[in-house]
Amino acid sequence: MLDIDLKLERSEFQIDVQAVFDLHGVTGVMGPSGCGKTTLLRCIAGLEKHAKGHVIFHGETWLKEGEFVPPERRGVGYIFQDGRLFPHLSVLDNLRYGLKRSRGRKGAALDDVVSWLDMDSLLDRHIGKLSGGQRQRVAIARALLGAPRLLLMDEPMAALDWAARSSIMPRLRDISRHFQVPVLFVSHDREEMARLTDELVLMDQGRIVDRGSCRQMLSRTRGSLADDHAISMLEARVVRRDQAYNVTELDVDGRLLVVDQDNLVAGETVRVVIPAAEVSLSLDKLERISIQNRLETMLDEVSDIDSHHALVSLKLETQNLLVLITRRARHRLGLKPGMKVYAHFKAACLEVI
Amino acid sequence: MQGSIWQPFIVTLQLAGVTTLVLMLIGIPLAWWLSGMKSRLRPLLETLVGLPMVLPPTVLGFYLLVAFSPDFWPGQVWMKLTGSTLAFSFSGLVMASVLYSMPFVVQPLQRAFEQLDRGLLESAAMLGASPLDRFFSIVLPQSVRPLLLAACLGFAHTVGEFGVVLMIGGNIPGETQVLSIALYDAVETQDFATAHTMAGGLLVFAMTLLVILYSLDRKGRH
Repeated sequence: MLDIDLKLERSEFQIDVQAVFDLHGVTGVMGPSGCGKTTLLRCIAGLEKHAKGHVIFHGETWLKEGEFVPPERRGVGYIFQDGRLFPHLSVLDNLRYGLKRSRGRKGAALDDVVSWLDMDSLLDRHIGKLSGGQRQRVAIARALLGAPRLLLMDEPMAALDWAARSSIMPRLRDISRHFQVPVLFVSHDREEMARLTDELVLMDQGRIVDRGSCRQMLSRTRGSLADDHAISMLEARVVRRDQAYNVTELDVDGRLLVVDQDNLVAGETVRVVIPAAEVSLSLDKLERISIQNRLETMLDEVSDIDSHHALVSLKLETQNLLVLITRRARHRLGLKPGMKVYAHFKAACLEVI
Repeated sequence: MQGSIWQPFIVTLQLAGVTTLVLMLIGIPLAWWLSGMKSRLRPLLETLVGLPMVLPPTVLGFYLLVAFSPDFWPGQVWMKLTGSTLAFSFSGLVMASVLYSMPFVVQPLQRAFEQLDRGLLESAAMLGASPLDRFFSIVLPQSVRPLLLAACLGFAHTVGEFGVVLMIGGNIPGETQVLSIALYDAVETQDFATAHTMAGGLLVFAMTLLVILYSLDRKGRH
């Protein structure tokens, strides 16, 4: 449990955050750039010496009036946006740097971390010769080898290209479970939040403005996330591969979903992220149509989000799917809560990690 | 005449070597301290360190001569501790050289430390490294080139000093007579053969060292 009450004066804004985090799995902190989310992370790490208030981690005081535990004694791992690898050391020596200084905490073994991050071939490389994705793998491994009790991640994928991002994403998703370490994950990217986090905290202008479970926060038709970039995150179970067509069938709340991905293992639970703008609605059941994902649902909520758009929330069984439509379409279809509607979206627009 | 060339040569090497060693021991922490200093005292301290760069060496030499004399406390303390005078001794010469060459060591180091990526230090702290550990495991290895540069500059500048040594050295062969002074003496006594050897040697030394320095500096920029 992390109990914080932080105040910090910055030239552009003031941090003023009171919160208690249970720290189960991955907690996401999201907000626009300059909202203070990185500064919040730095305060928790102990990198901001002028922070006032308190930080208490599992009953251990890190910050209180007159008390300040320096960052090296907090047992916290930090993954920076730019990796911050030591250029005068090899990859292996970068990894050992954290291992040697874990202050008696027992953590993962070097070999395990290296193979888990698939970086055996990188060990004797020079830091300057690594790609962005490789650098970030080394940074993640180095932080893990320090046996952190809490892992802080500050936009670890912001500097990466799409390919590097999608190869690191699955590792970040599993890190908390695999190494039994709670993660605080900062990003401005909604999709990263949907894929990686369990709890979501929204920040704006130095304060926490909202928080809740990631899936619920994302599926609202009102509030700061209800805009034309809204996305839904559905938890699905992998059913089987359709070898003939090279697609995979998923089960979401008892409904069939098809994705055109071939790297999923039957039985595992995955997250499907669906942009609300990619989903369309019909009141009738359409049979003769190329779109393979057709879900029968019940309209849960609908609300106008701006002068053009309305956001519709559709209820499956336990999960909700968001659909972005025009206000014009809303009125022409006469959409009301309780109606039976069909949602359609193409298999190709889904990426499952 | 042969002995009189080698003696000042050895004294010069000893003086520059010991001075450089002391300079690095004092200069590295001093430069690190100054580079992270936010106090208003910083310009004053920087001025004190940098003063020998603009002051005529004879001025520094004069004040040191006064301070080293048994009438003032530095000279008295030294007298009590060692039983000998500080002026006209090798130790006095080392102290004077350290002060005189200090800016040539501290300033490049301070600049290098200021340009050091502080993010790496934060990264090291998050991996459990204490401030002292960070200094030895990150700051020094990241500054190998500036350290070499500073040592070379300190060494070269000590070899090249004349005014300060003239004021406090006393020109004692085998003890305080360095090459630059011996050269001056040779010219005074119209011993031009010896003067040529010494001047030529110093010229070649200076050129060699500068070539090394500039190639170090060049590599550092790549």
